[in-house]
Amino acid sequence: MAAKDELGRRGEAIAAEWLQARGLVVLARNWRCSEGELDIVATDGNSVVVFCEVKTRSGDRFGTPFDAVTQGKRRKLRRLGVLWLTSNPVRGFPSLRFDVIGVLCRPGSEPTIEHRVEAF
Amino acid sequence: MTLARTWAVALNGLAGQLVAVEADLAAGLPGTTVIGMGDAAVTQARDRIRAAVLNSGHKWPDRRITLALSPAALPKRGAGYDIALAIAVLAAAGVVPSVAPGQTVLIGELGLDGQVRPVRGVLPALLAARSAGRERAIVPLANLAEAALATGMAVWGVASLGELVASFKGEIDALITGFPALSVGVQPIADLADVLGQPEARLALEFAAAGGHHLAMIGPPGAGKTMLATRLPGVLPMLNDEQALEVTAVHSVAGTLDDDTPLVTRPPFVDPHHSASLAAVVGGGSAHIRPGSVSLAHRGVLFLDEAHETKYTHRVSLGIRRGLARQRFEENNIRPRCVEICRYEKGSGRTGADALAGLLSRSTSRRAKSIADDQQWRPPPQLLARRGTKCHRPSAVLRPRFKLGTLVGPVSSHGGMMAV
Repeated sequence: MAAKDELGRRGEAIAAEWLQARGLVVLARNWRCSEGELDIVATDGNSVVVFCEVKTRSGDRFGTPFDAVTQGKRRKLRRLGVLWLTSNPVRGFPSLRFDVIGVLCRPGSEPTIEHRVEAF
Repeated sequence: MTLARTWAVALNGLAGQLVAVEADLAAGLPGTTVIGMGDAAVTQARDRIRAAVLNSGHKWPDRRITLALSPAALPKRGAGYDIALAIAVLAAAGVVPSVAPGQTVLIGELGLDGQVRPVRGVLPALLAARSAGRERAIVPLANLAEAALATGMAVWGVASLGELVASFKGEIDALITGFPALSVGVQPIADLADVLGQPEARLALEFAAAGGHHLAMIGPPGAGKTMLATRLPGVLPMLNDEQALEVTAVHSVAGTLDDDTPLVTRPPFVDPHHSASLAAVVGGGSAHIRPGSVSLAHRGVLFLDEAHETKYTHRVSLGIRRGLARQRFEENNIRPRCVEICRYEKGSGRTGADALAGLLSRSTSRRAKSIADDQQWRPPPQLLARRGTKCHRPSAVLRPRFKLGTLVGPVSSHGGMMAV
């Protein structure tokens, strides 16, 4: 596994823990379909489905993690969200929320997490 | 503070209106949108100001930034909003105190390196701000001499965004203040004393200058029509302060001002080419209104050489006639003081507009030719005697004798000829 993939995996694990610590229930991780992958799908138990994109960086030389979520990526995530809903049993009419979690894992220091609720 | 407001001016022709520039920093993914009917140059400001802020050593907020120009329905053009937008963002982000810009009007374009670049139309923009009650303005350093002509306002010039931010933070004492250009070096101008012969035409120039009349000159090529016409501004009275400001404002929008001595104190002389388009002559433009030759000749001389050429007699002449009849040119309320037509005989008009309408009508061209052929008007013997002599009075001596619309003293020593 390439170093960048490993970093991404680690970031996603940290992000999932972070969400769970805040009372969210993780429904799926790395849900894949032909169109792509959702990092984390969670719910707050109040009929809100949270689609969470996790961006992990080891530094900010190439912009913040949030800069990486471009317009095209947002469009793709919205489409993936709908696809997830159609292929999973969801009762009622849930509200949807798209969050982005940025994880900064600088070598030799504790990872820092920034969670942008309703990012787009 | 996630919300801040600065002020700029939107210019439409010569009419300016204050524009509130608001920046809002919201939660969400980073991104910047500029709203409020800006053209491409305004919308692209978001990339310019981001680079300028970063290259000035400040942080660009990692937030969802909404920049709004208000009144939102008013179309806005050009890059003059750059520094107002940049300061609004930095004030919203807390880099500069949000109260620091206050009611100050900010005008200037930003380079990617943070340099503040000059823009057109600074003077009319500041005059509009002044009449809207604003007392302070910051402009590009290169526009400072021009901006300082807006007396009654405190005007500062700024060379870079970094310098501007530092002054708002109170880190540096003050920016460079503008002083109105006092006695501006008057541009050298062709003198009537250079003209050899042509006593009738010289006298006609004096009459036109004294009364603010239109003037038609008919003659074969090489007779000296253009030479004489270029000497008319020299015998016209110098512009007074108010007139000079009006003329300078027009030339500011056109971008033809001199950097060091921006104040136009001479009546301008404008000679559009005979193939110039309607828009070039009477002004206009679909997106960005530019003054035409008529407006540039405000309080000066519009010289229509070869006025019988097709373009003048059709669309352009109609445009000029319409503007003169209404006493205004629609884009910016400008009226030339003295219009000169070459190669056309004056009609029997009563007012300036009528006269010019006569001058430019197609039937006049035939009449003019017949008059010229018949030599109905013969110069008086006094003038004939002066043919071939040099004018003994230079323009500077003639000029003080004229006050527009009134004869201050006798126009000519040949007083008997005044009954023309």
